[in-house]
Amino acid sequence: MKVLIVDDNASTREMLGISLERGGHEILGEAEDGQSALKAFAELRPEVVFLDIIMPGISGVVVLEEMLKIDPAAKIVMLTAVDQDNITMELKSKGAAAIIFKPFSQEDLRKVFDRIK
Amino acid sequence: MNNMNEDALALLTKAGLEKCLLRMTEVSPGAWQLGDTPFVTAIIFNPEDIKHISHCFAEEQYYGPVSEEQPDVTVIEIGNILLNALANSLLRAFGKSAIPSVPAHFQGDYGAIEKWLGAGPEVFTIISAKFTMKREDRVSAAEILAFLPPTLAEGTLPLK
Repeated sequence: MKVLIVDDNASTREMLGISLERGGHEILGEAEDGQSALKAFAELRPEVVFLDIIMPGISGVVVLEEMLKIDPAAKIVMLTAVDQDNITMELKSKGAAAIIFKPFSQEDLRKVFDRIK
Repeated sequence: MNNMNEDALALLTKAGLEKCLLRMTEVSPGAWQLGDTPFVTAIIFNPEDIKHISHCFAEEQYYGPVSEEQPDVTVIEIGNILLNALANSLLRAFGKSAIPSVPAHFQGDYGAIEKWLGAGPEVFTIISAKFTMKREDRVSAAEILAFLPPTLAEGTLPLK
């Protein structure tokens, strides 16, 4: 699948990119904050977005909402270390396709793709 | 906060950290273990260990250049994961929910911690946990600290 990676941490973007490419997916682009993520999303129209929550500026929760306004059918996978029931429920209610909690493994990624494809 | 509350908080925090460190061991090349004295807030480590700590988390080809002058992005991400494990446990214990701010990396001594906190650490209730990271023959140690403000006892938990 064609993927956009959004995470403020360059190391995470790189590790995730390598893992996804190993899984046969294509990385269309990367973004390090919410603003550039929305721009890249509108331009690249990825099939799947991996979206961090804690980023400078706009939070991933807001970015999720904005992306789904642009494309209500977009598959947005939240990638986060925030494991709190209220926030998890909020993300699901706002339309997140899946949530992966950090740290993640190659197997976690595979399961998510099995679920959303 | 009385001793019973502190004990309960310590147990909850330890449980959250143990779960996170077990997960770190499962998905990364290093072995991450909680020390005998649990508990957390910022992560303190020797700058000389920064490369090894990164090495315990990710395969070498994955992470960028490491130097003492430039904060290492992999270590910041490790901090993000572990500090969130702590914050998740504490917030759960207090029935609250919040998205923490982006973690920062800085190098310094006691004065740097005081500057970051905006007050001396003695003002806070401190929870700390020591842990180790082992890969191949090398072991690094670090400590996670939670500085709990006085308002915590009243049921509020401001996050930095």
